[in-house]
Amino acid sequence: MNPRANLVRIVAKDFVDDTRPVIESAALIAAQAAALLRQGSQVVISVHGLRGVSSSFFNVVLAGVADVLGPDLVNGRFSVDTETVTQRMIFERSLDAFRQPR
Amino acid sequence: MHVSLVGSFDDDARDLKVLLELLAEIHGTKSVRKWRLNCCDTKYLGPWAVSVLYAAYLRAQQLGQHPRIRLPEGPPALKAFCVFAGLSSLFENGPAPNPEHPDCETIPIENFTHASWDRSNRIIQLLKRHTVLGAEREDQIRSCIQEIIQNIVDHSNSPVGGVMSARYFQGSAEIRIGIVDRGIGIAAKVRETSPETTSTQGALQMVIRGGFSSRSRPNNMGLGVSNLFGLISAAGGRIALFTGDAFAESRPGMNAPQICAATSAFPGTGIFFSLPVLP
Repeated sequence: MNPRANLVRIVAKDFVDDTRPVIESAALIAAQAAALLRQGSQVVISVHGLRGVSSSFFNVVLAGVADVLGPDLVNGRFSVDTETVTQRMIFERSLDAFRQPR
Repeated sequence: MHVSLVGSFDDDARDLKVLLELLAEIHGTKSVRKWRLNCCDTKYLGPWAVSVLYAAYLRAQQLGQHPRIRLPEGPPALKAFCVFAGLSSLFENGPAPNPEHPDCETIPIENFTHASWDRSNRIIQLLKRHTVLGAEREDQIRSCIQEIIQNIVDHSNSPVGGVMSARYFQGSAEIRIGIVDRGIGIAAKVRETSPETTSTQGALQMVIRGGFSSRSRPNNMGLGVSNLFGLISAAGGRIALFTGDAFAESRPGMNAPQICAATSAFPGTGIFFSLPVLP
């Protein structure tokens, strides 16, 4: 990442309402990430402390980021900080799927 | 219509197949026709079978069939399970389940229509009452549940939503979970965007491989079922998925999931899995 750009860490857990649908919080996170990226920031989304993140969650987040960065999502301005092996596996599969031509 | 379930219906694909054969007439009738399911002589019902029965019951109520289910009369452990799982309360006006009871190793059966974060809370709380659950294992369990539930909400068009049943087995240190919908099935959903898919087995191959999606939401990538099989295999668990006239199964020791034709069609999709829960 460019050390000169403003680096913002989004803590996904802050957007979670346990009683609400998972993709609802994903959409909020995606909107926040997209807004920051448009301003020129570098964004890290942390899913530390979250349990039960699904492919749908990452798909919604990545779709929002892709709206700004295009399909080459992890280009130095965006990354996801995972905590568990499960989160990393699910995220990387979603990321690979996004990078495939459709 | 009277159907009797005699014998044991363990949490494995073989017993599920037998169960579905016995329920074929109940599953196949959409008319307003009363049915009675007699489980008096059933010796074992696990969470997998229970989720199928409750989904059938809910659908039957919607169709005006006035379903009646008579629960097992013994052995004592099975009667206790029926109370703790909420079946006695639901089907026989029996006592309400008490999840806090020290002997309770199951969650009250659930019916859901949304994929919220807290859907797996009761299962995790159950496990934490009985064993030590690390962050990694908790995340595996929650993610598996979330993948299934999100699929039901996004793709199934199930008129009863989804049903979930779970039970912890201390002896084998595992959690067994059954999640069922009464929707259109995986093959029908796949054919909406891939009409050349002629068989349910072919549709199952596609979703287990991953990367196919009906795009019911624009950013669906079709990874849910594939992730689920991958997670369970990596954790040393086992899974059976029944949909329409086929089923898929994966167990430790299998190189790849096995996909076969089912002898009796399942009117929806049922996903049944177990995961080791070792401290």
